[in-house]
Amino acid sequence: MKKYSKLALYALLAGSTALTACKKEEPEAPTIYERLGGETLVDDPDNPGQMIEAGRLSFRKVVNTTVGLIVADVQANEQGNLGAHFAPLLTEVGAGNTTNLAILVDNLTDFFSYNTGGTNAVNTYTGMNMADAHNPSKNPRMGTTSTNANYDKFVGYVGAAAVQNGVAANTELYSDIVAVLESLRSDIVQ
Amino acid sequence: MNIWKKVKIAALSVLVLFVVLFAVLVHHIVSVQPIENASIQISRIDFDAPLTDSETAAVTEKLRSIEGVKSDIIVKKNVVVYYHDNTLTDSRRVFAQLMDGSSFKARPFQVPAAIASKQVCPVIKKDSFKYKFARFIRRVFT
Repeated sequence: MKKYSKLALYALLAGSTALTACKKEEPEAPTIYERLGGETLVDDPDNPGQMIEAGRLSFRKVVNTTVGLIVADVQANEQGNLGAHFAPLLTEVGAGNTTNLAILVDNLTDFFSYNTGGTNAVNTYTGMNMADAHNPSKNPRMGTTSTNANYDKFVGYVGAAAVQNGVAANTELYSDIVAVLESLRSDIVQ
Repeated sequence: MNIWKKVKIAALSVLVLFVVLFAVLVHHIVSVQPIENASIQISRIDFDAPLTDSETAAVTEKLRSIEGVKSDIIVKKNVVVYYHDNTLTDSRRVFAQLMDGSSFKARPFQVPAAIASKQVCPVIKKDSFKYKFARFIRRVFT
């Protein structure tokens, strides 16, 4: 009996060593940020003479395109196109006050870059957490709560923006980006 | 403990508090990350008809050649949305330059009054003490 117990212990030890060894050999999967270009510095097309991390540039382009697609869909009396959520921003921009647009784009770029593997200081997100940012009682800029339908629409816009910026819809990268967005749903839809 | 000792301790405490707060303020000012593209503005042009692929390419190329227009240009059916640096140009000038010599029929987008007048932001009442006080403080420091 004692002999069998010792044998079982050795087998367990050998098994766990083998498993640990296997785990160490597995190459770490690249993050979304790395797959979008990572920390490689490239020319910033919007700021001549400046360099930007390729991953950050990819996210900034997706964010800009997402906002652009939402703005393209804004129509008076049109329901479900997120105009109600972006109206204050559009009105401010129309009046020449662009600060909040710049902050929104910058914050979203920081948020997505940092949380998908771009952990350099340039991507540090300093905005509110997602739950507070979408809670009208905690964020006065959030005029109304978001519904599941609103968020579905937003995810659709981000997906379309990703496709327009070279991330094909049938790829693992696209699915991973959508998965990140879905992981935020419970904080955003309140 | 005599009164002067108490005053000394109180004065020292105030000084220490001031130094700590000043250090926090300096750290905050120094470490704050500037906003990338702080002067970007978004504008939209509505064309009378959806743009074909070749028209899209032509409009995009012409927009990109205008000083101050950023690289992200979004075309959706008859709508073109673009970003520009408002220290270098404005939406009226960009529209005029885009239309110069072209046969397109288009108009610059204005936010519909029904949307613009929605008081969803700020939620805070503009005639409230809180709003007026916050505005006063902001004006002092900006």
